[in-house]
Amino acid sequence: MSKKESIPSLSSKITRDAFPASKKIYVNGSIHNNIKVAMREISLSDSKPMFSNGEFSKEKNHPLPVYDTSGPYTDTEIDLDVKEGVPRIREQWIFDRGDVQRLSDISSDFGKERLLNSDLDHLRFEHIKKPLCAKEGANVSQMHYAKKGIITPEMEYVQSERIKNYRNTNHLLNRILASILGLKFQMKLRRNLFGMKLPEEGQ
Amino acid sequence: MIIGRNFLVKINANIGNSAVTSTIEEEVEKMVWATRWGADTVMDLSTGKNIHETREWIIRNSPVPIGTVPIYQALEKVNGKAEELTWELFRDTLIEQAEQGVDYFTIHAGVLLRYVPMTANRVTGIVSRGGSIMAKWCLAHHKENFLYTHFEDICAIMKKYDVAFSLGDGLRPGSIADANDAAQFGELETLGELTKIAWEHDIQVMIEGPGHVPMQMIKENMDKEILDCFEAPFYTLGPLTTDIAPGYDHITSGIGAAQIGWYGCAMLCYVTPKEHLGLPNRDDVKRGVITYKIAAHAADLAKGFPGAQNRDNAMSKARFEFRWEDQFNLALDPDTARSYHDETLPSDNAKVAHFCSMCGPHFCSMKISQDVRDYAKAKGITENDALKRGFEEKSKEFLEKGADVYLDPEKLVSEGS
Repeated sequence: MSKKESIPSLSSKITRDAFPASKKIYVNGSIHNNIKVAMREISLSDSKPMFSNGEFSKEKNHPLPVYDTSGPYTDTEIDLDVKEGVPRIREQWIFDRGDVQRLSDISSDFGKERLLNSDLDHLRFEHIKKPLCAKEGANVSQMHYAKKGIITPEMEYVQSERIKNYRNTNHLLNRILASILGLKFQMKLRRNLFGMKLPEEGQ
Repeated sequence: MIIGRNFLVKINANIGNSAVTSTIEEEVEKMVWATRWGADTVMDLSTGKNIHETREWIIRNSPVPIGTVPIYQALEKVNGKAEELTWELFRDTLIEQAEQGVDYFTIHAGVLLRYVPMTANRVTGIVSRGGSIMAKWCLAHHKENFLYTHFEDICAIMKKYDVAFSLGDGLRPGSIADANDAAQFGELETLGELTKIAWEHDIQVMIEGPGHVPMQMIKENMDKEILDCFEAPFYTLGPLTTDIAPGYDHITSGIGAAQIGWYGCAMLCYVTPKEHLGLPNRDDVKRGVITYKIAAHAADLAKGFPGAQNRDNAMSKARFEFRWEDQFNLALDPDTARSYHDETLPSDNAKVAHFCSMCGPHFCSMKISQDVRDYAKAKGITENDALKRGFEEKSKEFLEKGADVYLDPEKLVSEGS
């Protein structure tokens, strides 16, 4: 049994619907001004008028920010093209560190073999950039930076999930310092050297 | 996105085509669909001849980290003959995938030669694909697993390309009968040893866990992992708490996942209704993800994660106040919540009505509670007195309306009941 291979095109089904009564919100970083933490905010209707203490009152229900992993796909204001991929929001953060280089070519034998095989042209993702790699002797893991006491944009970004009042930037900053530096850093942080994407965070 | 016991419990969704079904086009949508419903990471477990190209498309379009099991592709390169695998070929595969931008690798470096015989008397033997590949290699060469002997070499690649380890549990139990046996726990101890080595290189590590484990044996897994692997984040597949429900293994495993999440598991790998039966389609992916969001969230609540309850509180308030639209919108799966409601009460009237079709208007406990409160306020009496007096009045009203137990909800809505 074999199948017919097909790649995504403009007419492909890629779900881009926003969630009902929801919008994407983006909260700026306070240590790093080039991060925008994406969340989903669900709007709510008012409570019905209640008769209490001798008068009618109508309670407003504030919009609820929730954790959201859907990325730009549920933000209808962002244009996406499956042939281009999602925006590379980490690329600048990575280059700002100064410890990464873009290689002039891919390094693996198999990767080269696939690249030179013209039978695969119809299957290829077109907009591949050359790979990124640590400069000689550098260690580019988030754990490495954390051990050195460096708060990377990635760390500030993920810290948002522990913040109740995420709009208070001072609070945010204190929590990051206390929590990231204080924690035994035994966790995996989001890292993608191609710097394309981060899941949305919030609560 | 961060994975650790002190953060929200995360979930992973596996996708991937096989040599016989699904296309790159379908897998990209599956990935988008999985992250829409809440997958924090996605593992591309594609097999077949176009793995390299499939992965390129998935990575470039994914809003979340992508994990892979490189040994799957390495095995394709030797036409499925495990004994022909070599370190050189595997190393090339790691670099190939790291340069594509894979975020974490499952590496089955804990399947040691001496553990393999321990699986001989198991009911289900070795069920992990990666585990069985490495076991076969170890036996064929009668040598120690090359992933173990070359672990430092793997670390050198990981830190250059910022890829994290997910240390694979190649000897996880595949049945309730095999849970927590010597092979499984022996491997776990080796994973702890490897964790220390990876940390010396400042490489982040997750430890993969079972599998099939009955509820009373789940806690031992978490406790042992914390002890043997020095609190590295645990990443479990379920565990499935019974073997008897093929077709419903998202539920058999969701039970175990919620439990181990509460005990401190950092990431839960989803199981779909197709587990043990076939390749999950788009609908199965959604069902698996929603099930695991429930498990992870239930664990966050149980752990008292700050703010985790905000959404529950908003939902409960909306439910008590009969704000139907808000209930749908706050739901993990708004589409299903709305369609289930509309199945029995499709009119717009019903969406402002103070009852649903589950109990009907006169038997809705939330409606009755509200009536009691309103009545008490209006008459200036306590809720207990109101209940007493209310019951007398309701009894009278019930008789006046013809003593019918079943009333027409639509009619009541139009009467403004």
